[in-house]
Amino acid sequence: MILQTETLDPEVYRALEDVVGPENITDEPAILDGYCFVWGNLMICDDEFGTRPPAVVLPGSTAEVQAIVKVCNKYGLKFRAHSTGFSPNAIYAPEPILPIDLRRMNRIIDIDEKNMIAIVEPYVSIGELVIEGMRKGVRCHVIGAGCSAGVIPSCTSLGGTGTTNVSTGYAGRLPLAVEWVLPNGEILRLGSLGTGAGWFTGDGPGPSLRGVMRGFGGACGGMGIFTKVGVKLSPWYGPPEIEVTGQSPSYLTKVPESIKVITASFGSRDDIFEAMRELCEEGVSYALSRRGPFTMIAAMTKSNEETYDMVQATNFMEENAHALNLLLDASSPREMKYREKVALSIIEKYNGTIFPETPEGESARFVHAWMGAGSIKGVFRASGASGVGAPTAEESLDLVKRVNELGYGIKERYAKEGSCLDDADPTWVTPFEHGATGAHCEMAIRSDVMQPSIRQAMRELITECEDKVVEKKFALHLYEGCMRTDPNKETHDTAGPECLNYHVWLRKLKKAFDPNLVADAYFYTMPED
Amino acid sequence: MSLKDYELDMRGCTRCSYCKVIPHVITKHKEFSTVCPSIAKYNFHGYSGGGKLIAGLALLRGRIDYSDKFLDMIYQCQMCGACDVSCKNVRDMEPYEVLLELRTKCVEDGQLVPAHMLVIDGLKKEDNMMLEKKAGRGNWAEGLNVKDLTKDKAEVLFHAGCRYSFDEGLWPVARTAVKLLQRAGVDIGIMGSQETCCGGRAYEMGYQGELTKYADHNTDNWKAAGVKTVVTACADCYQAFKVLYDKIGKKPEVEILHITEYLDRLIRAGTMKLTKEVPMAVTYHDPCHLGRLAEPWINWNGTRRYTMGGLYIWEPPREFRRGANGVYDPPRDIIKSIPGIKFVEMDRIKEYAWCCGAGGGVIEAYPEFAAWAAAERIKEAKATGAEALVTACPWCARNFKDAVAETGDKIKIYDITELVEQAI
Amino acid sequence: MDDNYGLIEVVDAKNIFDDPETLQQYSKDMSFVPPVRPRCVVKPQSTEEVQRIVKWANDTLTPLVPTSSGIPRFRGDTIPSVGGTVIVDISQMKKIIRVDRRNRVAMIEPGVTFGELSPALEKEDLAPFMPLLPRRSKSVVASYLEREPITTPSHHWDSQDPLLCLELILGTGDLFRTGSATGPGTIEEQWAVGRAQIRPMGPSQMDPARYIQGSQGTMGIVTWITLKCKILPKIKKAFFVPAGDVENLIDCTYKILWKRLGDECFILNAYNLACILAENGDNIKTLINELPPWVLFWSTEGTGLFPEEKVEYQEAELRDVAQSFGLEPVPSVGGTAAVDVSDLLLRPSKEPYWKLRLKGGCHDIFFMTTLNKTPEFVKKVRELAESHGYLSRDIGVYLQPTVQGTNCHCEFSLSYDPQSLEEVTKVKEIDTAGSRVLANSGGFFSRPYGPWVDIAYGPSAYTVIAQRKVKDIYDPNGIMNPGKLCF
Repeated sequence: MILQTETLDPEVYRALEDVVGPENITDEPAILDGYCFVWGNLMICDDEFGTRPPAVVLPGSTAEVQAIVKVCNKYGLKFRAHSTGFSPNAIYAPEPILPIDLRRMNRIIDIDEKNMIAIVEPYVSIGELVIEGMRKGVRCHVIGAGCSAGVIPSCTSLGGTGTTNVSTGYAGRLPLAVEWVLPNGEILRLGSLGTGAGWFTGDGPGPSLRGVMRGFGGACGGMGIFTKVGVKLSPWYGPPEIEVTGQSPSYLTKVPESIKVITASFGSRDDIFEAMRELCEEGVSYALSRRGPFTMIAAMTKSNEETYDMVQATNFMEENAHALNLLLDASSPREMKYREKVALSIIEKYNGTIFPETPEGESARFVHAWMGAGSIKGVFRASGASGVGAPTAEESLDLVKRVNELGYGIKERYAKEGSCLDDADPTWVTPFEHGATGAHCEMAIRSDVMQPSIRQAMRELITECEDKVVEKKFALHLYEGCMRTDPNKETHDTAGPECLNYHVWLRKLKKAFDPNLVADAYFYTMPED
Repeated sequence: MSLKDYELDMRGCTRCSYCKVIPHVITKHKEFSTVCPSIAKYNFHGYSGGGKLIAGLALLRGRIDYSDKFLDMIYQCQMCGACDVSCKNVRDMEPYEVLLELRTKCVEDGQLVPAHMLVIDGLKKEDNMMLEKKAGRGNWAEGLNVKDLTKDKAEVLFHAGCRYSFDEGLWPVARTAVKLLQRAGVDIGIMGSQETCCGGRAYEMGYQGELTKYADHNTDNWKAAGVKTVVTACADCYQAFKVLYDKIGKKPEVEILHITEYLDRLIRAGTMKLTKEVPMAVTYHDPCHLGRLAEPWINWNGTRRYTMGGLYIWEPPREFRRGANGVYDPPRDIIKSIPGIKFVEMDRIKEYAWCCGAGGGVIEAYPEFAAWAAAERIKEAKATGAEALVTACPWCARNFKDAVAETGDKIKIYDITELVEQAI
Repeated sequence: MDDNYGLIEVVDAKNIFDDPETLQQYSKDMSFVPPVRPRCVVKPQSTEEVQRIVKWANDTLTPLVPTSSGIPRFRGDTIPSVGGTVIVDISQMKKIIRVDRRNRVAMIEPGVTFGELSPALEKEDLAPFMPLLPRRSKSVVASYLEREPITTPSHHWDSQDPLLCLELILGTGDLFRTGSATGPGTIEEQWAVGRAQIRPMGPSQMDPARYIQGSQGTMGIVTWITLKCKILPKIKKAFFVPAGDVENLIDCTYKILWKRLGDECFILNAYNLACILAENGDNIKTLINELPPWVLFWSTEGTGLFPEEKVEYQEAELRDVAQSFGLEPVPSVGGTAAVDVSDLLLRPSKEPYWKLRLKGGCHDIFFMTTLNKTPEFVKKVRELAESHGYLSRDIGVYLQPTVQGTNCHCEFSLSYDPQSLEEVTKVKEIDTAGSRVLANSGGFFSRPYGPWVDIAYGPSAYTVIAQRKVKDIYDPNGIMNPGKLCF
């Protein structure tokens, strides 16, 4: 029996078709199923497929996006836009909503290397902007999801943690001016864009509406659609192109002279965290993170068998139980000399030893920092399309260390039961802005979530992590409410009362800016009345 | 194999979109980063490799049924394999095999593309994919004074292929190929009007039976003819003989070479000397069937199991074909050995070459899409500053030639053999 | 005092002032905003008192204007726009609640000035990020809430910096905190688990600190903030890079910003530098002639494990950069050592406030732009001034790259004698006409005071609508500083 699902009223379909043209709208089920399928769905709804949408549209311009949103308002049709769609927050919906696929809006409008601003449309990926920026001596942030993720959603709509946070800052702090189609179909141009002055700031006049656009977490589509963003860039001191040799899947990148890859192993969690703290104070890092040894192995091997062999047959896991992945960058040889001296001294101070990376290892660390190209291998290849990140927290390194300890303790139990990968401590820790605004931690757990019993165990793990994190006053729930785990209840209902009832204010914002409640808010919030 | 055998691959797609682009680490320009013509033209996610994997799973689960639009989505795809090699840069999956099984299932279930039905009908009757009469198959070789292997014996068989046999505009290339080999003293013959299709293109359209039929027929004929080597100037045929026949358990006992491999050998051995200057800036297009799809087949039989609580491994260990071992160096070496040539590479090369647009039944059923893809490649060729785009496959050549005729572009389209001829 | 206020039930009587002298003081400031007398001034001493005041104001629909800096004030944002306003002066809330060296953060109440903060931070080997020589009475909280630029662009990651989290009483009377300070747990509970209120974004999917900042007290009253601090340098070196024309400094500055080189980095013209260096007005005119027309001021602070080496290599880098543009860093100009200026920059301005030294009055026109456009703005302002009979050589120019060079604060200071009606009128006219010309040329008045409101909001109607939606949520009765911005 073929699955029958909700379709659009022909009048609504026609109204949307009038906006985008017949070739840019469809209600073909075979195509629609591609818009409700994404990794992570299994954990949410026990099915790789979420709810099939009634249609999908492909706008080609801001005017078309605005027109679509107005149609949605007119007919009460919920919508959610996405870029590359590489997240359940982009794709999963428990009820039929209209996905707005922004693939056709894919221009890098300008890279202003002097003022270090890139103006991009929603489908521009991190990888594309990295490549184009290098030629001009600039680079963008690199999000944890990696190079295929969109630049705009990574800094406006979900989180913002990535490999370069220590030197670029948290991605959520990087949008400057924004062209924003609000849920009611009006266009808001933030900051200097609103007066026609340019793209250089998103704040003002007076209060900054960037505070409505997103918080620590983005609105995941629940506050409309960002059609152009001026993104703050950082300097790139390397060559305009990177030399790559070898062949897939093990490309070897030539680490440029302006970058130094240092992997250091520490004897304890205390030591590695102190080393990170002090490296932050020195402000010498291009990329700085603690990554689990298994993730490091996965990123540098060409197959799971090779990963397994390396885990079993070498001491890599033990030697890198507390491994620091540090990359330095420098605009001159003398600067590099200084930075290297500082880094090595700190490592020595905290009893760290430099781990002698193979060319494959060094390349893997560089590629991961440079454009996040190791993310898929490191996270998804091992267990095939599953990754769970819990617990998470973003605050001081001292707090993050406690969360790390808590999470690892919980995970060890589940690993011993065989419910998830027994891979030592897989927690990823990365500071923001040389530690000045804290650090992020996230424990990436790999398991065979295709097995219902394992899925259930992982849900219990996540719940246990979340509950303990809040109970101990460490942090809010996963990504501050963005990663919803209960289909029947918003995370905000549990988190809000712990945090001065922020959810009440958040709901008022939603109601004010989306009076018809058409910007789908499954991963955001809905007003109570 | 069947679609069901690839269920884990389909379920394992993360929707990362790597299948749409060349690996980011080797991308040089955003403009030339997309690798999948289908998604580039049609934009809906379903047109990408990953999108078709999802559709395959949906079909398997009874979520969707066949429809015209569904068939369009499956068949508006050159089966170029780019999504497959891009995905395999980071995952151990077989997207290409899923796409193939989807087509096979369509055919088995009687869901046929009318244009393909026509061509396959012609194939069954006349043993070629060109809707031509088989009697005329050998006409391209008139006056060549080459051995007829239905009557004679030779060490080497030159297999023209359907496109070269019946596309008069491309006859000079096939003729040049034979003449070059003859001049080098190769003991060469052809099957003439007795030559038949390789079965490769039909296989890609989902007609697996045709491949099996022609595999048996061709390998029997080669045995009967006593040849030791089969050389072809058609990339499709090369891939069919070298890879597909092995895949279906009918690996030929003869050596299979593409003309570029043969010429490269002759040049290295000093038997063929390229001495005349050909002052031209050229760029080279890697045909899919000579490049990523021509990587030797890996026969593997095993299982997947989970270890360490969350890591799956293959037993026995499994090698994946990621496209890097196609025929890339011989054509380049030939070009570089031509005096006076200035060789410039495009961004998307070797296993990440942008498809010319002709494969997978697209030129037959969706000629506009084929033309569009060719035009995109020509844009990339022009961006290098080259005066000529050189290739090594008649399907690529035909599609490029038609595209430049349409657009009025000045860039010349050559087969490698034509350049070699100019250099002798 | 009128018993009908009811305020006396809410605030200790000794903290309520309605004598004519006090009311006069709060009715105006050094801006050209028309004076309006408040009804009274209250000076709460605690968050609880502030909350009681705001709740009372909601009950009685009494407008409130918060202020935390002492006089002289300059922007007009703390002058009531309507009659019957109660000024809430929180300058006496002066606690430095916590200084956390490990996390390089401090938590302070609104009445703390830079002069009070610096010594407290120094005890913990820290220092504040300073705006350019704030006046002695300037509140740190006010400075950061106003988004005043700091002199160290390499440490300025976002326009919100150095502000991190804040606690405030919203216009509704509710207490709220922002960023990671929101929760879970009380502040003390957060400290107990190692949290330091250093994550500015949030809570969750909103970022109230961003719209509290820049709101001129129209959303609520801030009762404490956490702020980023820098490490106290062990050694410091400073240089001037002089030039005849501001154009000559632009590309050099861009290169310095691109290399994230050094700490303090800003451009001044001779006039402004003279005002900073001179102790009184008489010296200023002499000094102007001795100083180069323009200087880029740059410093490097040696901190960490190898402070001397850091300073040494950074100096060498600066020389290379400057020389590549045909410029030369020098340790002193006009007899003044850069390192002495550097010392001045660590503290608030000495009295009299440096901007008032020449004539006793000063009006700033400032806006945001990008550094490459500043020379054209300099030219425009000079032309404007001359066209109004104001000597352009008497205009101070301060160009401060911000957000690590992504944008630039562009400030013009026009001195005048407040006793001279002619001079006051001239400067007023230049401001009114000039701000419009500058906005039309691409200057963004991100901090709209007085007449700038119209030009800031005029072109963007939907910004007004959107900001009003936020205002309606946080101050539904419209009691918080009504008449300011677009409210």
